[in-house]
Amino acid sequence: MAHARLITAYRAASAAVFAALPLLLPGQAHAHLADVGLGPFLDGLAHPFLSLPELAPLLALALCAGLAGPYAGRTLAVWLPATWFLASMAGLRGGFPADAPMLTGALSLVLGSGAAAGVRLPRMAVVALACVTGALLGLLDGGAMREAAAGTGVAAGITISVALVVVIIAGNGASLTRQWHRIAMRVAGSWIAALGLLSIGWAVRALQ
Amino acid sequence: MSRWLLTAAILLVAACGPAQAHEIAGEAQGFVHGFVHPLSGWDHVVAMVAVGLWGAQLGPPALWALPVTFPLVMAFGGFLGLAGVPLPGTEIGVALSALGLGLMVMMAARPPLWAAAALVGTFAVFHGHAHGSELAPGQDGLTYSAGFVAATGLLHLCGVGVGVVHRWPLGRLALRLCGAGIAAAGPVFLWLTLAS
Repeated sequence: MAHARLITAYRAASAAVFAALPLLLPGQAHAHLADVGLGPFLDGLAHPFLSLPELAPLLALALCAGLAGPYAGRTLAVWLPATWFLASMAGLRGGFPADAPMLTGALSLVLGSGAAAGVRLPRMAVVALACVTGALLGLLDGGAMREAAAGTGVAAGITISVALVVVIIAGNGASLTRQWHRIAMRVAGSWIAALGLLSIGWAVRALQ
Repeated sequence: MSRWLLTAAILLVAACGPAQAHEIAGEAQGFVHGFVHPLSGWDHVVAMVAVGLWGAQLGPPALWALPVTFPLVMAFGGFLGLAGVPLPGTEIGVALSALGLGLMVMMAARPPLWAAAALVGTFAVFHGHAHGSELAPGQDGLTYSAGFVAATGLLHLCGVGVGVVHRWPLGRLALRLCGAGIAAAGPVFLWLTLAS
């Protein structure tokens, strides 16, 4: 009974933190690194939570994994952070932009739509999505790190944040079995897909 | 859970302002601004709540399918507005959404799911286009968009929360009366649109 209460409290706290995230976002949806003033590792740790263009597809992918089941969460928790770290190291070498609104918007749209549809992804699909998402967002982070003259500490912080988000979202998602839990995750996915589409719209408007 | 939803619904609707969900130029910034925007006018609020009410009347899977359809298609309408694609009669469509959705709730209409989703989606395009074409560039549209997508979804949730009274005979009557009220507001919004 005490264990069940602890699990419920943990889930409530996780939900409250993620629900409050939008209020912590700065007025601008930075894809560039923010200096939180506590050193490069913590800058990296905070980065995914301060960058809505990256947070949205990350949450959507974690929701997809949570809806697919425990195997998907475990797979994602390994492949996504690893790919993200390697790609950010590659991006640090140069030649990649710090942000790409159309790309991150498209990722949010596709992954959010997948979550909204409640698709049960096979393992190889999870690996593929993890690699593609990790590579693309990691390269962008690498570009941002190069712009900010940041180093490996930032990359390490980002990687750990990504892993934490996957473990919390996908882990909770996989363990919630009631129908309304799954409906809530699918609704969250639809919101992220909507945000992705609007993000592409804003990028188109900026080009005009 | 039903009591919490009903309470949240009442508080959210009580926070609404005059019937003008139009954006003030230069203020498209921040999640909070975006969140408050759909709540700032009855024309948007009643349509969002009506989607939730109708979903509650229809029951699963429409209960969640309609509130999932609306934000997605609304975002498509917003995309068209942001991209500068014209959509004639946007404000008329927004006004008619209150009339159309209100009538559906008043009559407790039970069309096939695809027809209900198509109707909701059609109105959603107008709402989204109105948002997308009216918003000033501002400092950052993305967090603003996140705010108004979240607020739209929560308004649907309020409608679903109020719609839980559907399980009682008196509640079903109350829902249909709500629908009549929303439908009656439609011509008022239409008159305001045409007169301005």
